[in-house]
Amino acid sequence: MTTTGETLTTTTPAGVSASGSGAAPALPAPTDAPAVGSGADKILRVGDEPPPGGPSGGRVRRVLQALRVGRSRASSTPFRLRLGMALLCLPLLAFATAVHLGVERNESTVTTVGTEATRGITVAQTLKLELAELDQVVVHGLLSQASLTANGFPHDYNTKRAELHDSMVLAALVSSSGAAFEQPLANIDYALPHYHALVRDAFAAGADGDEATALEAYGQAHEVMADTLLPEAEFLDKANSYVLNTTYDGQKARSVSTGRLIVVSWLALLGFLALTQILLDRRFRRVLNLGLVLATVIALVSGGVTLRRLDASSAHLADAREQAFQSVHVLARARATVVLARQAQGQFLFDPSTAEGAQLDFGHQVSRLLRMEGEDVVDLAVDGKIPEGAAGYLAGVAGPGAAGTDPESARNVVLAFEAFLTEDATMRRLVNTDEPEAAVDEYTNGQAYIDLDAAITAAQAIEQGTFDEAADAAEDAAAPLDVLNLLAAAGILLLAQLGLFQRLREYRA
Amino acid sequence: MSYATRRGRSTLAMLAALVTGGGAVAGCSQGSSAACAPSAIPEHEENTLVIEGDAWSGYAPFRDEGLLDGTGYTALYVEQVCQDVRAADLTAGRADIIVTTLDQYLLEHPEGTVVGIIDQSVGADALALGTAHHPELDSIDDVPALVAREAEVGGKPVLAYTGNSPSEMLLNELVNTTDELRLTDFELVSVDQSATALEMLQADEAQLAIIWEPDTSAARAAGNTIALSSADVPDSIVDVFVASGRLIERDPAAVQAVVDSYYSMMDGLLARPEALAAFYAADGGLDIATVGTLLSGIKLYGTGDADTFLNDEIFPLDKPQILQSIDSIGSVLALVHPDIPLDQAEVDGRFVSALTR
Repeated sequence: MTTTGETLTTTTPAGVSASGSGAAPALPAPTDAPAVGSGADKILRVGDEPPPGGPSGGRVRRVLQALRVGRSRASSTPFRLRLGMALLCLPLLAFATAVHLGVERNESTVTTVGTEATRGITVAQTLKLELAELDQVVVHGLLSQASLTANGFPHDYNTKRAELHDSMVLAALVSSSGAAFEQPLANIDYALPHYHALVRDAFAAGADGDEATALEAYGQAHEVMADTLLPEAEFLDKANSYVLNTTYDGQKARSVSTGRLIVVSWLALLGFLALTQILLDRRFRRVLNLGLVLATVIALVSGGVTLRRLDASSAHLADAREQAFQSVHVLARARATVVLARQAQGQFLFDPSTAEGAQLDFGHQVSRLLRMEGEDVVDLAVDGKIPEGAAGYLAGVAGPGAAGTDPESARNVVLAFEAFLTEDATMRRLVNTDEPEAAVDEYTNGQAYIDLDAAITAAQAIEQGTFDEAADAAEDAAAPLDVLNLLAAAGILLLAQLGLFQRLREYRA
Repeated sequence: MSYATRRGRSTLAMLAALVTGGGAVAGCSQGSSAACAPSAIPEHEENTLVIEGDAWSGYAPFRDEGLLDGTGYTALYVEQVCQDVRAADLTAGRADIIVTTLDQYLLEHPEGTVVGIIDQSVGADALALGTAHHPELDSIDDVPALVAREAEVGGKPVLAYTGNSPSEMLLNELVNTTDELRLTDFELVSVDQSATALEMLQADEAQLAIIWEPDTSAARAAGNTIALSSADVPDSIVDVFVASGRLIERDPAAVQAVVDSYYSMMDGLLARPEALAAFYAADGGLDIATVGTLLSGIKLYGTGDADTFLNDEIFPLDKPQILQSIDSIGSVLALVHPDIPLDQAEVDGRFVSALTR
């Protein structure tokens, strides 16, 4: 029996079949709670007269009774079941949101690191390489007295100029907005016509046999290239590298915090499901609720898969950034530096008045490729091997502990570099022994330079392939997670609600 | 001590920094003036020009009470360590002229125009490597190996620098011009002044430090390596004076008087190196040797050089060097502050060019 405001929980001896399957264990009897609103209504209907104690005393009693009714409902089993159904949404929502956040952050990082910033760096390096090649084509053309086309430039120059123009357009298209990216491009765009004009003057003077004017005009053009155009292209590369590095490092820090968030929300969801299972077991004396069990299994699996896949995506991204792209980037810089060294060789032969400076420049470019304090670069690379403690781009891709993924291609680069240095030494020996024409022949033949350029290009292609694979793998690893997460959340919600609803229905029955 | 060393803070500012736990400088670097005291500008006459700056030795001529003698104006130098407060004072009309670096002018973008160049760092600011404690660290090439060694034990080398100062600008410039430095490879520790960064280097609490003279010389003397310096990134640490837009509009003659007086004083000092050293020694309370070290790392501008820097178009970008520096410094700053309003930077070289006519 129940009096208003009190809940008596008695257990019927017979019990009620809960699910219709198997022997029904003894269930708690339905709580004889008043229907919703009935308690308060009853009180109001009592004789239409104020209760004893006057109007205010009646009000107090009514409030107290109403509270008792509320408490009774709150402690009733159907209420608890409904509350459980509602509360389940909270950890589930937290988990789904955390996973979505993790996937979204991962996706954004993969896009920035795997596509945007690396593409920006690649374009900037291409720009720098083509600028260096343009300058090298000029000195080569002047040395070999290349025939000029109608516009006053040799054919090779026109080709390289067109490539450079395309790269400029591409750089403008792919670069991020902001002064850090726009200013260097604007400066290149402004200074380049000056360079072209000076080069045309040099070729024209060369064709007229006015060597002095040709030397002077080319000297100025080279200054524009070395002091303005190349540093601006280098800055563009640095700006993109900055974005790549900060995005990547930021991602590493964020992925740790997002991972923690996912684990916490996952454990909360699992804890909630387990607790519900335990409470149902105590209340209904059932060991397992099928819906809840399935929901728990889905939660377990989806959380595990999510964490594993996000972890895999991060690992692939680390491979892409720290190993493959690092090598791609260093090799690209090395390639441009080799072209600059080649240009210095050409200038050494072309302009005796600046030969000393050109030789210094060659030494500077070579030291950027490979150097070690107190050691001659010629002694550093032997049989494709670089000793520990060496620095420079080649040490970065072929030295001990180098980041590259293909040691064989890196070794080929070092071998080609050794041949390049040998060829240079031969060329300079010919100059010193008063055989300038033979020296120019050695230079224009330039087989070692061609081989070195090809070796770097091949190694770069291999590392780029590795990078692309790793970046794709990083993207693929996390790609299905958003959909899976949604499906899992829907499944967990459905099954858990079904499990609880089943108990509610049994209870009503 | 550090009174008149490069961007050295005044004793008062140092005390303030100590009282606030070093927060004065940090406050500035965050662009907040909460930790910065308002400028103490005394009552002054109508014809007094308020010039705000810090204790940097390069600003010594502006601290000379006789700077504007014979011009009909008087100069009142107010020391304000915080760049944001200095900029706000100029914008609000509390100051008529501020002396600052180009990077801070771009970052704080006060309503004012650069009308003159004071000096630029050509080696005084430098990156020192802690060779004394790490003998293998004697070249910039050794930095990647140090980073790798620290990474193996889950750490990063510490790089100490003075925030909100030319040290920070130098750090950004060096990172953008060398292959071996990557900011994210280091644990960056912003300190209140160069001397603190040097102390950290000496105590091996930092393995790299950006410092300025005379700490640069002190670090070298202690067996550390000066790997890179402001000489490697020319035209990037430049001190200028900025006149408020109001003053230029209301009383251009006053601006002209400051420009005239400053450069005539500098021309005189630059013509007599001993007098120059004595002047800076007297201003900062430094000995002549220290001043010699200091001056060897900076380039001071007289009328001719200033006119060239502000007005001559330089091939191939066909812009005065100051505009090229603004573009270049702005590009570096834009990496960290993408919204930096570079188009608000204003330069007016007419006041200097008037001196050469």
